[in-house]
Amino acid sequence: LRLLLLLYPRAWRRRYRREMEAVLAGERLRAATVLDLLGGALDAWRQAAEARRAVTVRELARRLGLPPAAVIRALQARGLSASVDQALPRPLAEDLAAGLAAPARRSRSAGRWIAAAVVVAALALAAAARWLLAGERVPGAALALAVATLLVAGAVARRRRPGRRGWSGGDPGGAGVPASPRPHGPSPLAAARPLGGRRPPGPPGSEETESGRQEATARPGFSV
Amino acid sequence: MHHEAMDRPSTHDAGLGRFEEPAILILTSLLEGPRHGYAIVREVEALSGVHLGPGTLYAALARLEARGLIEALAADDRRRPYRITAAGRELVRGRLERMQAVAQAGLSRLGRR
Repeated sequence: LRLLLLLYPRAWRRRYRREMEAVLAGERLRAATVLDLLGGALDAWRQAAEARRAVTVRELARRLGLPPAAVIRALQARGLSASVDQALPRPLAEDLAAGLAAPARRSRSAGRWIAAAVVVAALALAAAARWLLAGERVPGAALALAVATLLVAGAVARRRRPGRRGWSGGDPGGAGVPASPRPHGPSPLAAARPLGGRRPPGPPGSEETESGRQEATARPGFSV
Repeated sequence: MHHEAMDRPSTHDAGLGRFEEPAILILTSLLEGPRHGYAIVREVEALSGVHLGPGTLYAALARLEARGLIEALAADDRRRPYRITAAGRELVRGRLERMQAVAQAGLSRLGRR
């Protein structure tokens, strides 16, 4: 049965071979298992071809006209760790793009409102300056209008900044998936069946994260 | 008979193709906590009576991982545990609610005859 694993793509074998061998150790040699492995090998080649169309976080952000941090936050909202140069498989990238495009459009719309508010404020201030230069008393309404408009523009601009609301909060801001805290540990049932040595990936920059990233690039779904 | 869950649009097409059913079984198994491949096979078998072959298991795991629905943890010797992500939970919740609605409707119709 292990020989059949040679039919899988090299990147696939690098990533899954040892795990699959562990599972195969509990399998009996049956025609159904052989057929299952043959079907799996065909699918692995198809997935490898799909993975070649992967994009990086940076590239996806550039295409969406967003900062890479916005894409990273959307990934984190899904419970995934991410870095700027991480390759995203096409289906995940498309899914993220669909969720992020709507907030980006709202952001552009907010930008237009801010521009309009700044123009109105500038006109009100120009009128006030004209009255001042002419030695006339500046109507309080013109000053109030200018100040109010600038305050509104400032408030809109603050809300527009990603991270203040949205992706890092309860609603991932259109990413389509609500953020949820990571589990702090295995459930009692999982604890009853120890997997041994498992631990979540370390913080960014740690040795474990680095090795995890190297492995991730070897995965069929993450290779570039 | 009207079932809200059946009217609700399904969660987005996860692009799991013919691996949708094993994927839902795997995700359901992972709801209890991280599991490695062999533990998933045993639990799915106990839960549903379906035996996942190694080819199907890893094709489904690779798809789930590529779509951010599960995440691989640090490997222990030859075994690598997988953990369900927030997106995976959301997906499996939607699928299970629909299955529950179908089951309720079917059982209710059986009871009427």
